Amino acid sequence: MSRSPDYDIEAADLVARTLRAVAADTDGAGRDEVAVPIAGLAAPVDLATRRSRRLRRTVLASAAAAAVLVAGVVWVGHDPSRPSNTSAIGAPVDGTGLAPTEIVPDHIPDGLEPLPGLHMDQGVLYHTQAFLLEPPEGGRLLTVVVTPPDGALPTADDLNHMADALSTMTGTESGRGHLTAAPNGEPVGYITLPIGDVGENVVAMVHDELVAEGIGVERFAVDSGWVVWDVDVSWVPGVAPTVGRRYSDVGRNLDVYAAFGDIASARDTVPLMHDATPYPVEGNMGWQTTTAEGDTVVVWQAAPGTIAAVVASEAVADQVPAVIESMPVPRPTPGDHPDWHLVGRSEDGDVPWVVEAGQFLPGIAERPCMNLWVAGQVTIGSCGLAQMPTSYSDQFSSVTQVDDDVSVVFGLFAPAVASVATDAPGAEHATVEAQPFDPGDPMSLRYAVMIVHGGKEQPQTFRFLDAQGEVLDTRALNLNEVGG
Amino acid sequence: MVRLAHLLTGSPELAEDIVHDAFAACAGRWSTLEVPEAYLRRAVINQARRAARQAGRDRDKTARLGRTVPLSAGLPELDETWALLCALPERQRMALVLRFYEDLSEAEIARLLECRPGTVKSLIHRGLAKVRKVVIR
Repeated sequence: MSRSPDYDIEAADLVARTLRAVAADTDGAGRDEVAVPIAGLAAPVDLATRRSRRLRRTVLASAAAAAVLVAGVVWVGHDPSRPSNTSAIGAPVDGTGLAPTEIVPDHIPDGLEPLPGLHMDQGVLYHTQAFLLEPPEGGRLLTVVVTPPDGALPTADDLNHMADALSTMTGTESGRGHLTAAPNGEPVGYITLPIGDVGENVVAMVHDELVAEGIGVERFAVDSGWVVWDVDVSWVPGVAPTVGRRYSDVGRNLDVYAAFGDIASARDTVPLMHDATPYPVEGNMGWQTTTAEGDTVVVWQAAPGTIAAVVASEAVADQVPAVIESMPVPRPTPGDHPDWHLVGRSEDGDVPWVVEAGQFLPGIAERPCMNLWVAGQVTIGSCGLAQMPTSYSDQFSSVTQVDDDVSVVFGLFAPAVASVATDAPGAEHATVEAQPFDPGDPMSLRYAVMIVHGGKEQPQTFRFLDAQGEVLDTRALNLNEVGG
Repeated sequence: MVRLAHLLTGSPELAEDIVHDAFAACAGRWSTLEVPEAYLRRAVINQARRAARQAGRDRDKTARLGRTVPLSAGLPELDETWALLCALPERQRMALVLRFYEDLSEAEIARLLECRPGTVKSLIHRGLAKVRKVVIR
């Protein structure tokens, strides 16, 4: 055995002797030689006895519709019978349940082949409630309460898959999460995932609290003086209904996923994804991050109702742009859903945004609703528009950042607000009119969208004006912080 | 492969499962593989990593990993070293096994563990340092 001369030779010898001794004692000795089957013959395993690692595939339509609402997904027009996107390498798989049709890139790095054993087909839309908890000592913990539809019991495999998916998306070391599936036979599962430098005792303590109190873990954290905020993880590929495949060669992996749903707003994605940077794909909002293992992750809104994700090991990371570019994906236009109508949109050449309103799922109390799409992604959604804001404005904030430079500011306004003005030097327009959702109703709520370049070095001032130009209210926004 | 899986996971029971799963994952692809043994080794390592992650999350299974019995060699230092290796973080143990049992280079290990060669060197040094500190003293 050749060894690097800078190893601790004595320790290395001890390890080598120990490993040989353990190997000699292994019951499998004598069976270690690889018996490669003759081409065309089955491998020497009893496949029938192996448990299926696939998740449950079916979901009743009624349960799915209810779960869609809970998960905050707007587009319910998923059509599992729609034609496949491409057939460059084999036939794409129509996902089961709510999982979309598989997206198959035209470009796969040389030498990579699809692995039949690593095909994901997760068709269940789980109800998830998640919190990010930030202890004063540093690091964060992601806690997730998982409830399957129809009172089904979540399995350890279900939670393992979700924890892996969340580890990838949060850029954390996989394997450090704590999971509990269906304690005492209850139809619920719990995941606690440390992000960053969090002690194992803290993770265990929080998980115990999560299992005991469920979403009451929030109260525990607040009482402990921790920073807490709720996040949406229902969109994360692997948590959402997802279909995907691994393309692999020794030491080189490329995973391609298509998931049902819409990426959460930047308020959720930015704190959730470790060091994420914007990665727009053909004008649609996306994010790039790196896992603890060095894998490159890109996730983007491929189309309304369909999220795409690519995870590439370091050896093929440089080919991620080519892979993404080669992925043909349908791109429906916001506003074409029968329950929604277009209210307003950007002018050609501006940062693309669309405001739409609709009666989402008739019978639900909090309606009507609106969505703001920016660069193909729903960045903010709100229901209960019939209710007047208690002041001149509601939800006035920076709602997303298209890239490092451009911020999008959005607000809902009382009918008295006719325009919004700012002195921010990078504003595309110093004044924009507040547009009514219903032009025929003088008491209609109004909205305004402002695009600001730069201006993050200090808070920027915005003034709400009435029809005579009088200032009704003034707000200062920190554009460095989404929601600020 | 069973020996390798045992060394990677520290559990002879898991080793059997892992090799079984690895063969299952490779089923039907033998005729298309240029180096089936390398492919199978990769599959075993992947399965071992997955098993270690699962065990880390599932407290009931944790006891399966790292459970040791005295080795037939009858040398307490080897028993102690094996117990320590079982207690090491997954990637440290895998790096040591692949380096000092499989005799792979740091570059080859890096490809298998999907990390940089420098990371492998660090994993091996840290693992050996613990052996030095705990067993050799």
